Amino acid sequence: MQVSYKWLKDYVDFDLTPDELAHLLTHAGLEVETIESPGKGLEKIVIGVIKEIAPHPNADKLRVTKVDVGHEILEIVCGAKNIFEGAKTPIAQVGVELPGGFKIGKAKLRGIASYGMICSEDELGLVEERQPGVMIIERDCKAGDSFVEVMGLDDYILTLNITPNYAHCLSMIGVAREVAARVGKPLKQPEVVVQETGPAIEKLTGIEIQDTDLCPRYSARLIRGVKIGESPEWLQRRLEAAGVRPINNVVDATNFVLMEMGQPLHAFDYDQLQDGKIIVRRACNDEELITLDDKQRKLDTDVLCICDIERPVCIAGVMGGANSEVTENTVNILLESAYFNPINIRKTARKYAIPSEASYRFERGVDINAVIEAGNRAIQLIKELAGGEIAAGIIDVYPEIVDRLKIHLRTQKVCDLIGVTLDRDEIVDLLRRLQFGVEVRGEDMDVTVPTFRGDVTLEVDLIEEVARMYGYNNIPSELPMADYRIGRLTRSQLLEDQTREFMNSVGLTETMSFSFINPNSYNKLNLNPTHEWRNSIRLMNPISEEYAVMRRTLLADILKIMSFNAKRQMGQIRIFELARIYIPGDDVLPEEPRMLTAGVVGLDEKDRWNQNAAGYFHLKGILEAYARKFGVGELTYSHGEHDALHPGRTALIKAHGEVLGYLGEIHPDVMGNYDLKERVTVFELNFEKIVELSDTEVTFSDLPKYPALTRDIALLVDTKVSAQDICEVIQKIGKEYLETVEIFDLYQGAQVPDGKKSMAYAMSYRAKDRTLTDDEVNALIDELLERLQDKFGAEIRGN
Amino acid sequence: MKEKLNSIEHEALQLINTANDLDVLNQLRVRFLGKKGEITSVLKGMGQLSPEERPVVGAMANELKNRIETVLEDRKVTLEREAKLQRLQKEEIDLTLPGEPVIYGKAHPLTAVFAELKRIFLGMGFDVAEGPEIETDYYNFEALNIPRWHPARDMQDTFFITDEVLLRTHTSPIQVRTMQKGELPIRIIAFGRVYRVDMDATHIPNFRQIEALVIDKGITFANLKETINVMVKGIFGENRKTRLRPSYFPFTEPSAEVDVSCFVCDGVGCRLCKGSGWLEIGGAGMVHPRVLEMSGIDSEEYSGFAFGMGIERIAMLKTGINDIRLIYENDLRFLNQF
Repeated sequence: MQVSYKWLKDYVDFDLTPDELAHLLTHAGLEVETIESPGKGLEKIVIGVIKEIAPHPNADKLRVTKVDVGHEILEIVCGAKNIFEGAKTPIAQVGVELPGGFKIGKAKLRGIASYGMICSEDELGLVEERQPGVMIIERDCKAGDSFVEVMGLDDYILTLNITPNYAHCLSMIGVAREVAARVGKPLKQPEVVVQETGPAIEKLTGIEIQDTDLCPRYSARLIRGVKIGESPEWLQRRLEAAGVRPINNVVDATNFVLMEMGQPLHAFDYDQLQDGKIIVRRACNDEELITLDDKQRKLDTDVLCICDIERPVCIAGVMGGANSEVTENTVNILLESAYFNPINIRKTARKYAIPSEASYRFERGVDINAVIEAGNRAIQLIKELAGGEIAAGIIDVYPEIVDRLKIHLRTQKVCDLIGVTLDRDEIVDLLRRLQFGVEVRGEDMDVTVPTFRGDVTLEVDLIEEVARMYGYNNIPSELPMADYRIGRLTRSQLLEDQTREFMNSVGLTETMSFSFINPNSYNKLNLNPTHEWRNSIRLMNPISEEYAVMRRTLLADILKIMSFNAKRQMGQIRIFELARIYIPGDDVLPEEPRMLTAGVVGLDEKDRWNQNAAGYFHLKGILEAYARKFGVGELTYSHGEHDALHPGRTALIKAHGEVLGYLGEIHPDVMGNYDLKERVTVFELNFEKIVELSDTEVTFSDLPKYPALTRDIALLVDTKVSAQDICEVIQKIGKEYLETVEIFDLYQGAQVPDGKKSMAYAMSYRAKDRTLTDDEVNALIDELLERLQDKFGAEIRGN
Repeated sequence: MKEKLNSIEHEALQLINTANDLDVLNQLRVRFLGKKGEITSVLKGMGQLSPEERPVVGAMANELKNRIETVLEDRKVTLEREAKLQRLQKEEIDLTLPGEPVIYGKAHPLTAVFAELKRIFLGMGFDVAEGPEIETDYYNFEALNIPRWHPARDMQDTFFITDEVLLRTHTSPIQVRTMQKGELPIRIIAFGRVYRVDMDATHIPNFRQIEALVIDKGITFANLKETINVMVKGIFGENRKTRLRPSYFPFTEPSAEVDVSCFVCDGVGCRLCKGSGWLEIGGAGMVHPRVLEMSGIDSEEYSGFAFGMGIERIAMLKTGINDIRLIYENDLRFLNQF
């Protein structure tokens, strides 16, 4: 809402600068977003009257003028062709700086001294485009007058951000009322005397409300014989200051009252109404109406319409119909002032996507008891602007009169909620200043709420009014009393924090992406048509297809981010994200498990097994350390299958027999889809499972008392035999004596036959209660080698 | 014989003290103190002396022996120390060469800000509550006193999944879920992703909020003010001032916007605060009695306050990030700055 500083002074006599006014309004809850002054920088420009024009002795295109600027006559050299003797023009005298930064100095133009400049509109910054001549002023003014005052530019426009509860401040008088309450000055409301000179209105028209639920009050005034024309300058200026385009005197009058009092009005061309009657009813399903914006609207029974006896002529409270529009030929006007159901107006304005100044106010609720006053103000204004005779009386259909609400307010409750000690009389005073009616009841009071304050319905609403008037900044600050305790994180919250920190500490940088992705991402991941991820929750109104479905995986984003950064010459990329995914199910709300997803690319070191899989072993190392640190349990890796991953380099990860997720290289086809050139390795784990399995309770165990014995073995096995297969056998045979087992060498190549590989393991054995003997360990090793031979055909190369 | 001993002493001390390596020193030990050494040979010739002289010369010889022994030992220690020093000096390195690279990842700026806020609130006795991001209309709006078709719905442009299910537009549904559990008093912060249909230079459709909720007997607006004060000083520094000004949220009454004094100009007015001296950081208010009642809390007995902020906004103010989109673009050149 735009508020003109000058206009506001019509309603309250305040002594505040525009900045002070803005401060006051902001602290009243009417946030001032901007203050703009249309005349800023032009304060020193004056009106000059050209007295004489003479040719320039040395230049054909220049002329020498004598200009009266009030206290003196200046000689000014000018090149404009549109000047004439007697013309009133804006003058920048010597020493004045124009908005563009140009400073006027005493100049000699082709030998003739010039003491100023006759300005054009572009030179004054009033228009953008270069003007062919200087500005000629046709307003009533004299030499030496202030240019901004003459042009009405000496104003400040405050743009207010009005919250939905302050519908009563969507008008000049509403804002003035708040100012008046705070500066302690009376509110000056316009006095209206309607000069009714015509016949009784009942003889000319009739009103019928069929749907009083949607239209609790409808009133009409009538004026005949108006002359449609342009509005006077003062009115045009007022409307422009409020951000409304002037149209014609009748429409401008209704808009003026809308801005002044907050009551939307509608003027019909009375002669276009069949039978001159108004019926307020729901539209029928087959009805249509061309609205003022020339669009054909299909109506239905949810839409309230103003109709004549045959057809709709207006969508109530939202937009008028072209069939009853006030045009230059209109002579007789029926003026509507009504109250419509806010929710219905909101639905209709939404349905047709026509937000208007009128619907905006109806949605938020206008004052049902100010309907007549607004109609009177407008009809009298129309008469003053466009002539004509006002029919006697008003038709006012208002079947159920809305009474002012009465609320009991307890002084103690005010103090308890705000946390400040106020006595009853202070509260009474604060409320009365806002035009609430207050009757004292002992220590407490009964408050009568004016109907323009539809937002105040509860005791707490009044408490807010008291707090607002008292001033939030005057309320003290004090910490709440409570038993001492420190807050605690749940195990799951703590593990989430620790996981992030761990991932950072092992080199992974945290990324964050939107929760919604492009459904085409699943194609880019090469998922088969029936892959479960494709069953993703879709938004009804996404920003775009790029953000249309709720993700089932963080992989798509991890790849997108890698691709984005690879294109920016980031060689090594190590990233992770810990965030929710969204799995639709049978319940109303989906499951939202957290996933822990990481990706690496471009690591330059080789992996220790020479498998050309640095990324895989890097991430695997991280996972193993993570699982150990957070007690997730021994991780097992088996051959996994995933559409997006490399068939030979994908592991299904389990702990305690439960699937945690995948670790693997991205399939080369998928890499191509993401424009990634080097091998990319990722893991994606279900973080909820990790929380479930993680056990970080540590119980101390005694340090070993007896020495350990170590043994190394080297084997030749088929390439298909996995490191884990062999480990399992070592563990099984080692019984409780095996302390650690580690593979320390893997070799394929010269001296090893095709299809075979050489693996070397180091074991350490120890007994808890005694020193193990060599013989005991040798027996274990013999048994082990025998088993490995049986099971895998392992050839022993040494031990 | 005495002269002999004197001349041995003289020679020995001189040779020992000028010996420059341990081998030479060893040879000197053999030459003077060995079984066939010079002192021994002197002692062997003692038979020629008179009985009176014998013990005198014997004592002299032994004294000399001990003396040479001591000097040899001293010299040995000195030489060893010098040798070690020389060895260590040869190991000198260029101390200015760069260290072995340690690779560590960076915490996301939003995670860092949340961690900081969390520490402040945990210290004040708040727990952390969570809730679903995909919510019902009831929890996101109705139970927060925002009925369908209320103009306040315009304040939060909503992503819908069905007519009844939506992406939460704020973290406030967590308040409702917490209150419904019926455990009083309540002191929580809620944190998480929220969603609004908005995407431009200053808005992203998926951002984060943090909010605090306190419900107890006798909670006042003054309590709200001080709690915010403590938080603001904790996150932005001891010199920051807080100001509240009236505003509107359907779920609080009275409601307020929270401003913090600008940390660039300290309230004077600059470009960051657009000349006002204050930066808006969030919304606050006393929990609306209707909201309490809907969640089964007696609003005559209990009162409470809530306040919320956008994490992105806090991170941007703290670090000077000037475009919100950077936060979600995941450019490593950006992420690595934190």
